[in-house]
This record gives sequence, structure tokens and C-alpha cells, in this order.
Amino acid sequence: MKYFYSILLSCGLFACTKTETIAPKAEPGNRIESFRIVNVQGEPLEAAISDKENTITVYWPFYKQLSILEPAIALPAGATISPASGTLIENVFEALRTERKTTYTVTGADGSRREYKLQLKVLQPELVLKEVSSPDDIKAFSINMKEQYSSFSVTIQGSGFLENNDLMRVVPVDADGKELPPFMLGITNLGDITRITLHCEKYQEPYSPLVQALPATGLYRLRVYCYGRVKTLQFPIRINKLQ
Amino acid sequence: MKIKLTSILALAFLMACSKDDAPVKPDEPAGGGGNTVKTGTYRVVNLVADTSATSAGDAVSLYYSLEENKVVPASQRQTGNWDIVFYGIYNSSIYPNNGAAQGSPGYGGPGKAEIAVIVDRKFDVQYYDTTNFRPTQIPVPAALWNEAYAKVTQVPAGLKFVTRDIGLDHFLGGFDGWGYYDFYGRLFPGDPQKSHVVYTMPRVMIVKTHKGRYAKLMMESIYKDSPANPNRTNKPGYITFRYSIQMDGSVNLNIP
Repeated sequence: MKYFYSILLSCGLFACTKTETIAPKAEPGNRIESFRIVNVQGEPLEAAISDKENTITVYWPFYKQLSILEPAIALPAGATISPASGTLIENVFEALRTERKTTYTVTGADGSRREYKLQLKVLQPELVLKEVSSPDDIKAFSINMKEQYSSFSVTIQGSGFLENNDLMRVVPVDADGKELPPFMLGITNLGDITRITLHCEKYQEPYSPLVQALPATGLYRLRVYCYGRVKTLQFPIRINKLQ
Repeated sequence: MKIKLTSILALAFLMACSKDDAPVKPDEPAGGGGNTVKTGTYRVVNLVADTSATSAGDAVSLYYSLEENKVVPASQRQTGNWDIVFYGIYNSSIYPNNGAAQGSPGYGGPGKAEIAVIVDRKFDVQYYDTTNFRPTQIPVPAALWNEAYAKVTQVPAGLKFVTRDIGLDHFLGGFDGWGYYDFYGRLFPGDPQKSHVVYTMPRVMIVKTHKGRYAKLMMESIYKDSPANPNRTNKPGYITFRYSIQMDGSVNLNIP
């Protein structure tokens, strides 16, 4: 019986020796610790960093209307990053529109490298566009090059537009899917986010890139870029350029 | 003796200017490189803003860092790299870089700058009709410019700073400004070359920069080579101004 207790006791002791404290695996030295957008009012925007996907994702609400981003990047000791912390990310609207690729390369103190992809995500209401034409009624607009002054305007109704014309761009898309230069956006409806007015005018040379690019006639679907959103009308309009 | 004195004066004038006349390169890469100026007085001459500007629409905006004495690209309007912008018709509205001010060029960015214009009616009566808000004599006597500028030796206590623009005096609104826009050519009746002319006035503005430093600033001209009595034949879009900036963070503007 005495032996039995000793055996139990020694079992207990042996069981305890199994418990070990294992130090966590060291974080790789080529990672981004934090990525903050600092050129904003109030608190900086904290980006989400995924070391698994190797992505940096910056989310921000559309009403901040950021057109440029200034990141402050924190790295482990000895690591470097290119482009460097503080390098401005310019023309954000274009980056959103063209899905411009930006990559950050971190080089750790040990020389190992890692590439992060930058993702820009604007949290923005849906862009809803009302059709200008219908299948039975293709609306036509003309510009007459023989007249000293000629112009036409198209109004698109909907919701989710911005009051800031600098963050919107509307282009005609031809039958081959090619985008023409943008329309001029009207300023009479600034502040009305339920409609935008597009202008195309021929006056003095040099003519606008759109007037120059238009062929004699064509069917075009209108594509609206509105900051982080893009939508294309289903039914086309016809634009005639009378020579 | 007379000649000697004049040449000394001329020399002194040249030396005073030598600090200021460094050419401003609008294409310089910006980015807050930390090339800040020293406390002192700087004069920016014929800064090319928008020389094709007309009174019909807004000119291309010109963003300026007083702390670095240089132009900042417009793409950086939502950064802390600039302090003031010359905005709107003939670049006549001077907005501070303030990210909280809706409708202002720096809106949404980190900017914390503010601006104020000092209005001293007792001084103004020397050149200005304080009831009808227009100059009583053009050109405004040259001595008044230096006098108005020198009088401001510190940020006046209780001065009301704004985050909107300081622009044309009592034009389309009841705000005091730095310049008189003679829309109809009223000051020179019958002279068609005198309508749509902007006359600067000896008014001192105080800018609190984005980084919180104070500067006094005076517009001298928006026309090429700063004519004392401009008309329609003068080319607008060439901004000339002087400013004195205090880099130690104090309100002392007694800066030589």
C-alpha cells in the first residue's frame, strides 16, 4: 500500500515534468507593424494588415473625400520599406478608378524581403443610375461643328453622386468598349446628389478632348465613376458630330 | 554727400531684398523635406499663378508654404505641406489650410491653419472711405504700406481668426479684405481700361500656419511687376507679397 502511494506520487511528478513553456515563434523581421494614414482631421486611419495575404487595406468613409494619402509606417527594428514611410499616395481618385497597383517592399534586418499589396477601399453608398434611353427610345444628342458655338447637355438622375465634381468622371463608352475622354460636369447642380449634368461644347480652339475624339456618329453607353464606385448605363445614347 | 547717402540707402535696400528675391520654382518637388525658413522677412515677387486668368472664372490655385517659402503642388491640398492658397478669381481669395472648414480647398486634410485681417479704421481713413468701402486715392501713398506693415509688431490680442478666405474687400459679401476690386471702373469714370481692376491696399493679414507659427503677410500686387496704378493692360496672375514669419512659436512679429 505504501508503495502504491509512492508510485502515484511519482506518477504525479512525472506528469508535471511534461509541462513546458515554449517561447512564441519570433515575428518575421520583414513585416509591417502598422500603416496609418495621417493626413486627416482627428485620429489617423488605421489600415488592416494581413501577413497571410500580404496586403495593406485602407478603409475610409467616402465623405472624407480624400484625394491624397500620407502613410506613416512602423516597422520592426532594422527593417526598411520602399516606398518610404511618408511617401504620398497621389491622385487617389485615379488610383480607385484605374485600380492602380501599388506595392510596398519590406526588407528585414536579416535581408529577407516581403511584398505587400496596397488596397484602397472607400465605404460609400451604392451608385444608382436611371437610364437615359430605353430600348425603344435611344436618345440622340448633336454637336454642330459648323456653328461658332454648339453644345449639348445630358442629365443623369439617380442617387449616390457626390457634390464634389473633382471626384466624379463621366465618359462615353463606344461599341468596342473603349472609353472616350470625359464630359465636362455642370456646376449648377452642385450639392444636389440626385443628378449630374454632362456638357459637351464646341467653341474656341483648342476643342475639348471629347469633341476632338468624337467620330461623326456613334452609340455610347455612359459610364459614371463616382469616387470609389463605377457604374455603366445599360442602354446607349447616340452622339452625332455634324461636320 | 547726397549721392553717397543715396547709394548707401540703395545698397541697404538691395541687401534687404537679397534674402527675398530667390527665384521660386513652382515645379520643385514638395513633401515637407524640413527645409524650413528662419525667422525673418521674405518677399515673393511675380510669383506666377495663372497668367491666363480672366475675371470670368476661377484661376488655377496656387498652394504656398510660408514655413518653407515655396509653392506646393495642388495634388497635395489635403496634406500639411502648405499654409495658404491663392484661390478663385484672379487668385484673389487667400484661404488658410484648414481641413475642418467645409468648402475650403484643404477640406478633409489635416490642415490647422487660420487667417485674420487686421482692420484699423483710424489708419484706413488716410486712403479709404470707411463708409462706402473703397479707396479714396489711387495709388495709395507708398509710405502707408511700410507704415501699416511695421505697425504690426505682434499678433493683436483678441484678433478673430477665421478658416474661410480673406479676399476682395466688401465684394460679394460684407467681409474686409486686402484688395479693392473696381468692377465697374467707378474710381476712374469714363476710362474703359479701369474696369475689372484689383487694387491692393495696405492691409496686414496674420496667418497661423498649419504647424502653429505666426506670420504677418501683406499683398503687394497681383499684376506683373507690381504697377502702383494698374489698369487692364497689366497682366494679372503675378502675385507679389511680403511676409514675416516667427519660427519660435511666439506672437512676436517685431521681425526686421
